[in-house]
Amino acid sequence: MDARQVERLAELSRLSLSPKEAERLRGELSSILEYFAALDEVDVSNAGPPTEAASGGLRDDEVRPSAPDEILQGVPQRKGRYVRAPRVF
Amino acid sequence: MKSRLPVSPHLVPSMVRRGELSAEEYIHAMLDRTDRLDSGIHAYLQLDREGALAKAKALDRRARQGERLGKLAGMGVAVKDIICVRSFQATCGSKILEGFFPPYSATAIQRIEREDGIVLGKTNLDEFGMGNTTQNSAFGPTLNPWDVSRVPGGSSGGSGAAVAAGMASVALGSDTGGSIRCPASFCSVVGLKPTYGRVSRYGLIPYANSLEQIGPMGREAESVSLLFEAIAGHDPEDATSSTEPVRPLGAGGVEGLRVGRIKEFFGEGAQPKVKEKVMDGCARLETLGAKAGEVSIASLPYSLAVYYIIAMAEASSNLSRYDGVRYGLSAEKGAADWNTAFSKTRSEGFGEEVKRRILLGTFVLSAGYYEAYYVRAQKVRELLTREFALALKKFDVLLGPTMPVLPPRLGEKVTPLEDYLIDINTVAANLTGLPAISVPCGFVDGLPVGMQLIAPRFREDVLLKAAVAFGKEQGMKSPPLAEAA
Amino acid sequence: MQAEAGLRVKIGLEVHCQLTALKTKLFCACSSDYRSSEPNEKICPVCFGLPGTLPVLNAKAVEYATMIGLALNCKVASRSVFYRKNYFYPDLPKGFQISQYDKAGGVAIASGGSVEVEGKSVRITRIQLEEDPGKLTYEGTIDKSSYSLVDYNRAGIALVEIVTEPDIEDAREAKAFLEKLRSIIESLGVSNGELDGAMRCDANISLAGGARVEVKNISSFKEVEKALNYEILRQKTFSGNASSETRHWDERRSITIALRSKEEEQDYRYFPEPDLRPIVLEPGTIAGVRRTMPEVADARASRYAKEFGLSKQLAKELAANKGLSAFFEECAKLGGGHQETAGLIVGELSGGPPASASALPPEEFVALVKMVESSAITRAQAKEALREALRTGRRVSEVVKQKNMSAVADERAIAALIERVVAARPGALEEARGDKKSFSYLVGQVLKEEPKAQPGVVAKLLAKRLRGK
Repeated sequence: MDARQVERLAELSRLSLSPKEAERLRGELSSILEYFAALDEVDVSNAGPPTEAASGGLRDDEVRPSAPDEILQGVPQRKGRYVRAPRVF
Repeated sequence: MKSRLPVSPHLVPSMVRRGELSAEEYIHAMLDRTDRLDSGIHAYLQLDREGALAKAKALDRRARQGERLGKLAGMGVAVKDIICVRSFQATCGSKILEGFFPPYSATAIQRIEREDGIVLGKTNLDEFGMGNTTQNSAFGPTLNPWDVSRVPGGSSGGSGAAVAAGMASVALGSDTGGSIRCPASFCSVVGLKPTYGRVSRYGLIPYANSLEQIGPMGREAESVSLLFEAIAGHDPEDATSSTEPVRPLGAGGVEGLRVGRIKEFFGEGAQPKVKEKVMDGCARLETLGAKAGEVSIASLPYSLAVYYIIAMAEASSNLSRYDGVRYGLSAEKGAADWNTAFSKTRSEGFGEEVKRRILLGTFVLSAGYYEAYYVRAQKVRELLTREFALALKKFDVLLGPTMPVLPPRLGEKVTPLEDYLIDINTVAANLTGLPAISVPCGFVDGLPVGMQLIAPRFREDVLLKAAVAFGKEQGMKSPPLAEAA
Repeated sequence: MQAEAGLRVKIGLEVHCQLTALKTKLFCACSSDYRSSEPNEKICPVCFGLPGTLPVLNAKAVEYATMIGLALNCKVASRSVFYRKNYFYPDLPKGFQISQYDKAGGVAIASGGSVEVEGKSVRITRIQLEEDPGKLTYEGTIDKSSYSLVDYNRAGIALVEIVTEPDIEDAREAKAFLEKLRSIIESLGVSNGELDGAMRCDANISLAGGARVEVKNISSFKEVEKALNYEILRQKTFSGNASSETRHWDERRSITIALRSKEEEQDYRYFPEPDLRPIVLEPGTIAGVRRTMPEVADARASRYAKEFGLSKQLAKELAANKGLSAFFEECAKLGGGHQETAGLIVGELSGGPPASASALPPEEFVALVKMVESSAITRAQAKEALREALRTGRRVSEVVKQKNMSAVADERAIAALIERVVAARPGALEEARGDKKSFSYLVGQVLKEEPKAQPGVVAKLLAKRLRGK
């Protein structure tokens, strides 16, 4: 893995890394990925489609009350009932 | 004054029901013990003394009034701080959830409370369940009650240590790749990872959704069974929970039980003395009536890579919601744009191991790599699942050491990969969804060794019965530091 | 706005339609009725993205999505899965949207359908279920505000995304397609497309085989035509190849603007949603939905043509109006010629079916039709009687009686009339022999002389006359 890839991953995951951190991670990620590469030697041609998960787990279309004010209490920054977030262009 | 506790936590509910034991006294003694011991162990992150005592007192009153009490009446329950309990914070061992008080309790907690179990507090863990030593907690490590220079295992290290030292009757942990069984092994307690879908995940803050389960931990298999029965069963709030009925435990032990030792678990990766101890354990099962043989699971050497690819992928997505907008740590309150603000919060709030796994998870899901890593890993997972299913046609349970090593020392310098490698025996049960238990199997140089049993899906009853029989035979020890309390 | 000859425009649409008829959101039991609510009132731990919560699929949403798939002539998948679309945005509580995906092994709930618009078939690529994000707003103007405001009432609302092939060729056609789509969906009763924000769309436009440009943020059907026309013009005047990009429709300034390059490099890292089970639909279940779902106009038109022998055009016009269709079916039960009945209904009742049964009961209507068919009165007389009845509220049979309406069907009288008319127009007969239009003209001239004459009889006798000489 190269430094540019690490930078790209950090961007995609919204993590800002110091140059030292990024370099350290580059080494660690590279060696871990090397370990993952062992999977390449597995013959997966017989793997077939994944075990079919059963269907189910649905719910009826019925309203259930909730406690919105309690949820809002935990919000770090608010403006009235709005959640205040950083600006987006 | 020594705080006297009934030796067998599983007898507490019946004694409280009959008025033979005051729940208030019992919980009070347990809390005293915790006061004395926990500064040296650091199992708990949060403790609710008043709340626990008030509940205990109320239980005693109801018992006196002849009311029917639940199956866990009076038992003190420690809860891993990745499981939501109303009125407690849920830190997940992380700074990023600072100030987060969930406005609801996990289904498992609701069921415990319905059975009159008493939540004492929240226990320490590796951040977001990522780790096997509890050293990845943002709040400092938990120490192993058997040897405080060593780790208690992880990620449910706090729960393991709490029950080992008698600071709780039972505990809840969560197990994604071994996080209940590893601390169970290192702390010499019983820890069960149920079949995937057996226990509701509603209220379990997720690390890897397709792999994990909430599960019970305790010093004896009987109390682990009680807790398991209370929390198991379908939950409409969790679409992945199973409608399969929960089997009652039933009588009997291990007579005629066909036990298959997994060859790959006894290979070179495991310390010789650990292997020896577990072979002894297997032999003891045979004296109790089991029949042992050997089986090989060809894809096992790949299970670790498969596990980490899938777990990190799911984790990278699960942790995206921590951006400081709706709850938790919000680092950048100024006028920064959202990308900067999100990155700052996340970089400050997440620890090193979590960042590592997010980056790797993002990688294996990213365009161009998704097929080669994630899709391929799922295929190998499928192969592994089939191999285990075949092996479980020939045997009723499969056996091996829970951990290939003895509990490492705190602060031991290892690379991330070296650390991951000790999960080699535990991840397969998560990948295949099979139930697995770790039971205390003796000591090597004073350090605990755990024996792992794996059963077919929804056959926790087989595991628990074997654990009870084995435990009776094994007997129970207390960590020296806890004896003195 | 016509595309220049040779400059082929290809437009594909991605329409997001809220299933407003659902009582709750897609994955939680919050009320879906958020439009008149205070901000962050219709929220719960699940749709707010609190840690540890899990999505549970609304069974009715599956039914509605299936109905839409069937109404758009799609194949409904027997098994489809949800995927996570991962990206960061303040209005996306979980940091991912639960959606469906049609690559990398993903299967959406329906695919491979079509919609007839103005005689042309627009193919439907796929239909998928997904959740709506919350809503981002600003205090004052977007430029001046140092922060954004988020309301999660809309987060988790059930959406159906309908994606078309690039079969649409201009902005006007796009609007017609959207209106047809809306009417179909409304007639199913799964959504009220008129509600604010209930139907939104993005467009993909390419010119003459050039690069594809995606235009997002088109908030209403009115804006669609404007946005597409603008973008087509922009691409045409662009010298050099337009690059494949995403643009944003700025409603205020009526232009499309390129989004920041970061947006283009989105990698959504799709993978199957591990918290949800697959949607499994047995053939029996799908058939059941098909049986019980409301009939869509196109399907009704086909049925009318088949069952009642109506002409295609008449069937289409009648079927487009639910009220008139219901009235027609009531009348059809009572006999009489269906084509005649339908024709009269469409011709005379387009303002709407009779407000009350007493004003024009189906029996009266059918009786009138039978009178026309038996030549007792002419069709023109029937129309007149109907108009009078509707205007005055009197019964139509009374009007016919009172006005002494009766057709002149007496053949001898009509034959004599024909002679008179033909005699006054030298050469007309010859013309009528060779040309249908001239024939009709002659018939019209006869009717002008005697409006009560039965047109059918006139035509018959005139034709005989032409053969005779």
